[in-house]
Amino acid sequence: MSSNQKLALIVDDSKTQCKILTKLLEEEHYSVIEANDGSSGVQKYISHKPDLVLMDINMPIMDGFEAARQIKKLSGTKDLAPLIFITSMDTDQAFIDSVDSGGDGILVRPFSPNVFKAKIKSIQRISNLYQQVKTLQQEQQQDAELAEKMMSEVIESRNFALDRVQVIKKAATIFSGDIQLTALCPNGDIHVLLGDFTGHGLRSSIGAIPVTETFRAMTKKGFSLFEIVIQLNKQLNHLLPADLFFAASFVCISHHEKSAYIFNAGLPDGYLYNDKGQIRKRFESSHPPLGILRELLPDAKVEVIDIDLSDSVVFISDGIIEARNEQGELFGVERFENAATEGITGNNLVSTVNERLEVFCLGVPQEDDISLVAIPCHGWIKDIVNTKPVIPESLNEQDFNRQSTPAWSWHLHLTGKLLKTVNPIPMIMNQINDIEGAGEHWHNLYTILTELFINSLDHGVLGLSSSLKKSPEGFSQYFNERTNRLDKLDSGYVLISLKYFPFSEGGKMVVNIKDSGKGFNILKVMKSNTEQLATSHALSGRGIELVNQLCDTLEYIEEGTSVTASYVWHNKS
Amino acid sequence: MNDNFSDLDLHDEQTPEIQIDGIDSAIGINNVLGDEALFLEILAMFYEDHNEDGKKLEQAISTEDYTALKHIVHTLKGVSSSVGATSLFECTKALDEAINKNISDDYAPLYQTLLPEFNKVMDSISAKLIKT
Repeated sequence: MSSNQKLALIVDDSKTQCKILTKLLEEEHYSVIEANDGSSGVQKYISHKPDLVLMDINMPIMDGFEAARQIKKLSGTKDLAPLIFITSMDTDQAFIDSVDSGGDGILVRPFSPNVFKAKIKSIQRISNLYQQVKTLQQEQQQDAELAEKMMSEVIESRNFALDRVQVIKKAATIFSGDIQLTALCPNGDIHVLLGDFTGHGLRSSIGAIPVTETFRAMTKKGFSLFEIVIQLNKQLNHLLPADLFFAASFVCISHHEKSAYIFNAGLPDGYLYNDKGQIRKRFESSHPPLGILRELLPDAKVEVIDIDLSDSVVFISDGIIEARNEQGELFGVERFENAATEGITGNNLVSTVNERLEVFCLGVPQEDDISLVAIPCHGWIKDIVNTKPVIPESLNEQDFNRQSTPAWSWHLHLTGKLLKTVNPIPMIMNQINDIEGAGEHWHNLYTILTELFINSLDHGVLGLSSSLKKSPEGFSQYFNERTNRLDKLDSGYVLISLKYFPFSEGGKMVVNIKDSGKGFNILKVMKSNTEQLATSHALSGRGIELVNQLCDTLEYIEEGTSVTASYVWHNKS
Repeated sequence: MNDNFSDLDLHDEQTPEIQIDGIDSAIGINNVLGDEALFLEILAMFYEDHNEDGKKLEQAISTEDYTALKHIVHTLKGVSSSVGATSLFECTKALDEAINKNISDDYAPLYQTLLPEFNKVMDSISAKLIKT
């Protein structure tokens, strides 16, 4: 007997009939087992898992209809063995009952062997189709599981600070249309995104890969949150089909500015909670989801808020507030906010929200992806002391004296309105990476360039006083004033020059930034900065102090309108 | 595979070697794809399982046990069609239809028509099987 020989089960109380049917089935290459009443037919179906069932109707103990019902109930959608009733009951009711009880066909006696053969053939055709569908389903399921594994590998596993950002992620299908991304900025700030593609399942999760790549790469290169939002919108508008778009909330948390930058495009309100679980602020959606418009709306902007270091930012997708219970009622904003308050107070936000959702829904199948991220506002600061590079002895005098001709130099002269729209820092970092290759040591250079450029633009070109940052409204007031002045800017310039001197084991980058501003009293500012830093952790002075620590030399000339910094790094071999 | 398989559809034109009174053995043999040995085996089973059916039917009618009556008639009808006992099949079918329509007055007369056919089939099978 070959292993792929099909097995048929005959359920008939007449042994004579069983014998005859066995003969006919063997002719069709089946091996055959028999049962002589409905009940033992069901038992044999369970123990032998036949490929075909022939069922008599009139039988003792349990009739054929009841046996068929039990068999069909057992097989569910998994094992789809076709079942044919064979009977001499040629009444209309027998036909109707045989279909109602789950039969796939009926053969009425007397029939010739050829009719029997044809019936088996036709039922076999259907059962082959069942089998194909089943196999395809299994294959598709396996493919989907594999693809999902790879996707989450690409997306979630590379998230930053997974131990500190709390996450709920429950997909409605294998694939989630929701994504949660976290990435570290070169200056130690953290970028977080919670996004929800329309729909759910594979189709809606495809967009997650380009979003992830762009979000990570741009964050790493030092682009601001808003620049990333602009780029993602453009990219998704180009990539996604018309009916697919991306609702998302973004936050950049800056520990050292004590501020957060928020942008909500189409998600439910985001929250700023204090550590007592009180809502300090709600962040309403201020823009349509990304991918719909070719460009962001002209008045689109990030919201800047002052934070307390004990606060948390919480984002949710609509799957939470639109989760339904059996009565069709929605979980809703109020239930979520209560759960969040309790969760934050009890320091178990994720489990509290999850529990409340489960108790509310009570096993009603989830319709949409459910997700939440909660990001603490503290702890996103680089330890300055440890990043101060030690210039090793192996960098000898010769290296320092050979500086007359740089290996390469690079200049950028940005004027007027361009200062508002162009962020030169990622551009410069790209140049450096292209010429010298990527490396950890460029992170410090990024910080130096960012601080010096922002100082030249803010205090030089825009003439902003850093004392603004000390006001009670803090950084957000400063930021808003800055935005106002940038909007009106139509003159002025910043000139950035880089010169690179390679050493035998490392190198030196000399950065000069010159601005069109009025300059400042260099000595006074440096002195007060140092004093402030010693007594308190005032924000305004921190930037230059940090740069000073990172640089080999830092020098202001031309009444503070020109600054030259040299950064030396050693190639650990 | 059975050697006679290719001749199956031609059974009407052949004279079957097995002659049994009351049974169209051409149909019976065809129903088991021309396997004569199997056919004889099935006749033996038929005899063994249903030899007492005549008495059982009479008893069911006289005691008005119509559930038992229905079951016996139904089974006998199916098997007689399978073995090629065509006349017996027609008789059981008539009785079966009367039972389905609950015309109990017809049961006894239809049984009286059926009984001689039944006895003929059983007797001839018995004779044939003893001979072989």
